[in-house]
Amino acid sequence: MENTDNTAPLFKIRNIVKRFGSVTAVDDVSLDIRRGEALFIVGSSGSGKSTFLRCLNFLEIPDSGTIRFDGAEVAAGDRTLDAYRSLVGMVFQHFNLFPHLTVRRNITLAPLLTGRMTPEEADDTASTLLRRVGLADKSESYPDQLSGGQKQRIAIVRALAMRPEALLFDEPTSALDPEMVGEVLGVMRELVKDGMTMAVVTHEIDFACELADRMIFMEKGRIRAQGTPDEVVRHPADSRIAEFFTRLADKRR
Amino acid sequence: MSLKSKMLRVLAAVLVPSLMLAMVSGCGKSGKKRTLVMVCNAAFPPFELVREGEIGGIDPDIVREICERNDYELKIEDMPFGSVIAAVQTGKADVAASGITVTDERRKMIDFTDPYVTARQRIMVRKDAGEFSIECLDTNLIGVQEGTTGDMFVTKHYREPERYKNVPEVVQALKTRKVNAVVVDEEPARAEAAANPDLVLLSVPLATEDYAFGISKRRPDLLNMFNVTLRQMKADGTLDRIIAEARIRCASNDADAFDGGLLDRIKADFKLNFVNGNRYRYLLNGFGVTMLVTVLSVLLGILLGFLVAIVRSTHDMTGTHVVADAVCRCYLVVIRGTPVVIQLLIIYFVIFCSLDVSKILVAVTAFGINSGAYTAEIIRAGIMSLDRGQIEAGRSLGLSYRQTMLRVILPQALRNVLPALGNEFIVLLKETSVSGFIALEDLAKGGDIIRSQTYNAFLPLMAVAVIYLAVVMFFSRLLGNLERGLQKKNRK
Repeated sequence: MENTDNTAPLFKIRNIVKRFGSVTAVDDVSLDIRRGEALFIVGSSGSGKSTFLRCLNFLEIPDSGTIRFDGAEVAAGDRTLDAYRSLVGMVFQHFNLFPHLTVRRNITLAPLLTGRMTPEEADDTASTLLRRVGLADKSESYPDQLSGGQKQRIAIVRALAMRPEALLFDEPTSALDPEMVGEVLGVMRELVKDGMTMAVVTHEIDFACELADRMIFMEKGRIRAQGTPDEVVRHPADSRIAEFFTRLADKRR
Repeated sequence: MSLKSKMLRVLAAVLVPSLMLAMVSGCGKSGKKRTLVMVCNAAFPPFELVREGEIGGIDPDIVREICERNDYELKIEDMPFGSVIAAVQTGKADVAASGITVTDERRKMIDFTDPYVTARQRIMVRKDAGEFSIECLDTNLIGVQEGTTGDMFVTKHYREPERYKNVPEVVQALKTRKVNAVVVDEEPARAEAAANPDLVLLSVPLATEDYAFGISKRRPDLLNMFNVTLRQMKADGTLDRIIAEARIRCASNDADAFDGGLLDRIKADFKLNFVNGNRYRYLLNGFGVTMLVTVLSVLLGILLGFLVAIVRSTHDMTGTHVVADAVCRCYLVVIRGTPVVIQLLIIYFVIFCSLDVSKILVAVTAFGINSGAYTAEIIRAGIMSLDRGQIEAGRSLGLSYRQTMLRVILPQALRNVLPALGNEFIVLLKETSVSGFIALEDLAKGGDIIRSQTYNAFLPLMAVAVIYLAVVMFFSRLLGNLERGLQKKNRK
């Protein structure tokens, strides 16, 4: 991570394969993600997009392939994996907040346990971030007292508190009631504007089109199309991809 | 020695020091006087019985006299008759003085002193039984005390008898028509017949036998000392005097005379069982022992349970720690696959066989190890029931497995399983009632002692049951409140 060349890709992902039994969920995916890039990954259920994202921070250990982060290869089982994960935050579909801790303790737990911050720093960081997402008044609440949208905003803050270099979003709005999607997307929009490196798995095509620097369409574990939203969605490469986006658009009506 | 018992010994060696601190009943030796440990089954009047909280009778009185003449300090322990010889054989006690008949089988295991009394087996029946002769032994249910000459005699010559733990229970079985006749030693039979006007002894003695004290084959010095002193006591008349006095003392039952109605009778029984001789203290002290053993066992169980659960679930989730997991699984299978009574006896007679340790320590070790196996699975279930996302969230933030386990998973798992752990406490509270097998005077044993003194089954058993029930209800209620409190906190 000594490489500070801003033009070099932050992630260099090569030939990632992940199988579950006889099913190949991710089939030889290679990809670069630039620093500050907002990458959106779309595709139908079972296309392998979530598994691919989880491979990026080794929640799923790839069967083969390499990931280089900031120039250095990340190896599974390595002691440096914890350090790597602390630089690549993850936001889950089901939030996964710690229900036995207050919102503030949810946010400060990792910065404190990893020795990244002093208690005062962690507290300040939590307060600042909570204000940014409009939840300063919830710092002493427990997760079960919050709405889904509030929980997901807290989960984003929890990931941000580690001051990560990149954030992974695994369908961050799929478990939310429709009226709560907007508040989470609002926070994500802010992050894109701030130049955070992001990889987002989502079904929110309009949102993806609005913010994506690059969009990837996955099918059967492979990247079927990639490019700007305009290239992928409005001028799809083949009829199957076009059909997917049409179906998605129909569903929303 | 097998590998397993070696492992258990190591386990015991680890547990002993930590538990020692918690023990209230010490194992310290007092003074410079040598101590002689005598074991008996103190429910065999007039040879041995508990009176006013002390074990007395012919055997203790003779052994006490022998000790005094040879400058020993006497310590008497009460245990089931079936364990008495084993206790001497394994070195847990120096002398077995429990109205033991000399037989060839027993001679193989221990040495016997010269006989100090000649006893006969007698048949006892209910007065309303009508004609009953020796021939009837073939066709009737016969009650005996297990391991006694009566047991062997009936088994060998007549039929399989109904075996009870002590003479009062045998007699109770006869009175409540569980059996039609009993075969017991003459001396206790006389005492029981005197106390129970509805019972009668048949005049024909069955088998004549010698009683002697049992001493380990490794202690010829002790054997010699006993024989020499017994000869002196026979010569100077002390032996006859002790036996006669003990018989008289035993015959004088402390039951109050009653005349009249049911209420008076209940009152009199209550007084006999709980007030006379301060017998309620057996229940009170027993209750204290039961609570102490239960609480310490649960704590030990939770400690073991946590260790095992963490090893097992770490293995389940990561596939590492294969050997440790195998050891833990072995522990679970063995402990959950065998009765707790057997575990208790193994720990007492096999693992702690040559150590003079507090029986509370033995009980806590046995019940703690037992409870640990169940607690481990409770805690493991608590860990596995948590959403996988909790571990993933912890790890994705850069926390190590250990940090995630300690700060994220275990606090939640513990909260989830708190009610189940409380339940385990209640189950264990009742399970400790088998402590009497190693002669620990817990609540159940307290009731037994009263029964053996008053020849009354109903009230002591009821009292013990009511106390257990009250304690269980109290803790169930406490647990219910705790659960509701937790739910409220979760819902907030």
